[in-house]
Order: sequence, then structure tokens, then C-alpha cells
Amino acid sequence: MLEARLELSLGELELRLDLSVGAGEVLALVGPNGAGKTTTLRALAGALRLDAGRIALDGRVLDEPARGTFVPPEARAVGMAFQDRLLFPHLTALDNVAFGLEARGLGRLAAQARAREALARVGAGGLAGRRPAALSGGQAQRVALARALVLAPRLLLLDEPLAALDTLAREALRDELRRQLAGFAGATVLVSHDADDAKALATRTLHIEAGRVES
Amino acid sequence: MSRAPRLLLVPALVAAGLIGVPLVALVVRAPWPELSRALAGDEARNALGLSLVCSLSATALSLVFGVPLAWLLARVDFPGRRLLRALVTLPMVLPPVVGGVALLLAFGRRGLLGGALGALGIQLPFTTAGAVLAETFVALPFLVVAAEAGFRQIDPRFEEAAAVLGAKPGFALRRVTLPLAAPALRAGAALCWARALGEFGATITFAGSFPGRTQTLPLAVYLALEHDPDAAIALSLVLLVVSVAALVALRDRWLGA
Repeated sequence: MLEARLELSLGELELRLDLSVGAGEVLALVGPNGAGKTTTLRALAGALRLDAGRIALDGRVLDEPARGTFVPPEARAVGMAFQDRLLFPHLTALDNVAFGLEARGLGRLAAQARAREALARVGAGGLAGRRPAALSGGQAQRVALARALVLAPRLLLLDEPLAALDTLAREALRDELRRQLAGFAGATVLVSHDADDAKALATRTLHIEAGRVES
Repeated sequence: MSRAPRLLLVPALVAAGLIGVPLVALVVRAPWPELSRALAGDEARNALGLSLVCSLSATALSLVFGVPLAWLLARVDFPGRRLLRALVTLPMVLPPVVGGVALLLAFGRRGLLGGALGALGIQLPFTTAGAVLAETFVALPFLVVAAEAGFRQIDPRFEEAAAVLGAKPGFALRRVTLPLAAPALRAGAALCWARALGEFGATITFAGSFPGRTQTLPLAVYLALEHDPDAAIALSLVLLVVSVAALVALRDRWLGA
């Protein structure tokens, strides 16, 4: 269960957003560029600090400036698939997925074994040895999804998971995402500029504009 | 391709000749039959060995201290950053002999830090360590400039992604930032090493020219020119070959396609 009251300023953007997402729920944030969608995810992941407000995941406070609480990103049980995928170009798909496990202290072989399973679960088992440059958009997004899910997060963040894909890849990936989200026990927040994608994947949709919920 | 106007062609050829003719002369007039004798002499062998030790040490020091400095300049916005960058780059344009004088005034027996170093029993001027220090002073900027450019080319979102995936800053540095910057670091190290190997002015000023201790290859060339010109030419050829090798190693970055 994610409970968040986000207040933060970043350049032109003034973000003021209340979110509550239960376990198994998928909340979609929909809005135009610059509405604060990605900023919201970065704050939830801990890449940005709140100016005020509070983020709590399963009762554990992750960020609350008023009390001086800030849990750094590496200590949050959060998995994220980034806009533009951001797969590390110098690592194979397998090592990309194993990265978060190794960062948490798991040995290389154990991490790779679990990464292999995670790749297989998203239908990307055959891509383990490939570098990101040799992956199509849809393949890269599957690897990015596996990289987020392998950490068994309590909160899954998906930033434009279906953007920049051709129609065929997009539909296949949409089905795959729906399957994965149905089997995911934690809370999910996904961001999209496309209302149809949001409707297909989310249990609830919030339209935001200029950092606030549009009523 | 456009046809070159004659107005440009002539000075362009003069420029090419200005650099090309001396290099050709060095190769043509080299005492090829005498080469192995000239290089086998004690003086040449000592200078060559010392030069390798000093220039590799200077490159290692530059990597150890220069890479963190380059990262700081590229990624952290602190007051005085531009000033620090200008200061670090200065040795690239400073006459090396001035660098040598400055080193004496800092680390010499009566220099700013000379007393403190002396109390610790450390003497730098006119020692091999001093030669290494002089080479580092001159060559470090080449590494810092290349490494900073390399770090700047990395999309900072990769480092953010690493953190969100669970990497502590040290892990992200080792597994993401440094590997992504590796080509730039290699180029910077090659450039830095080539500059250190050719260092003359700062070294002779700060460390002197003691055979076997501080007389590196360029100093040996200069001194040998008087009493054994063949050896001087032979040693010059060695430095030329090394420089060409460094340039070839850097061809992707410098010579373009």
C-alpha cells in the first residue's frame, strides 16, 4: 500500500499530488508532457526529495521532510522501468537484470540465475546474452520490466512503458504487461500520455496537469 | 569536395612542410646501421628505463588523483568550479620551465612545503620522485580534461537508474560510471603518458639531469647531441615511434573518420 502526499518544486513545475494505491492496484497517471508524471515517479523512487509532504510504503515512511526522514533510493523496495528504458549499454540484458540484485549484495552467479528466470517470465529468455544496442524497442522494454520485477518490489513504477513502439510490438507488450500486472502483488503506478494505454492496464486513472489532479 | 583556391593551397602546403620536413629528416638522417649500437649504450638504456618508470608512475598518479577530480568537475556544482578547472588546465599552456620553478618554490628545500617535507625526511628536488612529480604536474591536465569530457558525455539518468535499482554511490561508480567513461579514460591516459614521456622543461628545472636518477629520455637526447649525435638521433627516433603509437591509439577520438 502506497500513501503519498507530494509537494515539490522543480523548475517551472509545482507538484501537489495526493496518491493512495493499494496492493494489487494499478494507478495510471495520464497527462501531457510537463504535467509532472515522471517527476512523481522520481520522487516515489527517491531520485528527488520532497519539499514537503510524506511518502509511506506499507506503513514505512520513505520521505517526510518535516521529520527529516529520507530513505535513499537503494534502500526502498521500489522497482522502476524508466522512460527510454535506460538499459546500461555496456552490460548484456542478463547483467542489466542482475544489476539490482548484485547491488543488494547477491553473488554474481545467484543474481544471474534469478535474472535468467525473470527474463524468461517476461518472454525475453532468449535475449540474455544481447547488449541493449542489439534489442528492438519491445525487447528492450521487456528487459527493463524484468529488471524492475526481479527485485520483488513492493511498489512498481512504469514510466511510459508502451511509448516509442510500433503497433504490433505495442499490442504484444500491452498483453504482456497486463499479465505481469495481474500477477504482481504490490502497488503499481504507471505513467502514460496515452489514455487508451492507461485504460487497458490500470485499475484507476488520474489525469494530471501542471502538477495537480484535473477534476 | 571543393577545389582549393591557390591563395589557400600555398600556405597550407608550407604548414604541412613545416611539420613534415623535420620529421622526415629525422627518419632519413637516422644512423640506421648504428642504431642498435647507439641504443645498446648504458646511457641510452638507463634513460629509456628511467623514462618508462617515471612516465608510467606519473600516469598512474594522474589516474588515481585526476579521475576523481575530473568527476567532481563534471558532476558537482560547487563554488569556484570554473576557477579550479582553469587552474588545473593551466599547465597545458604554461611554459614547462615555469612549472619547474614553481615546483621548486613549493617543494624545494626552502619552498612553501619544503620545511614540512624535510622534517618528514622527504626530499623531492633532484630525485627520481621529483622527476615523477614534475611529469605529473605537466601531464595531469591532459588526463583531467579528457576524463571530464568523458564523464559529461554520460547521461546522468544512467546513474539515477543505478541508484533506483539499488546501487549505492560506490557501486554505481564502479559498475556504471567508470565503465561508460572507459574509452575517454583510456584516451586521456594515453595522452597523459605521451606528454609525461616527452617532458623536458619542468623535469630538468626541478629534478636536474642526473644519469640513472633524473635523466629521462628527452634530457638524454639534449645532452647526447653534443658528444654522441648518433645516440641522440636514435633516442629521438624512439620517442617519435612512441608518439606515433599514442596517436594511433587515439585515432578514433582525434583523427576522426
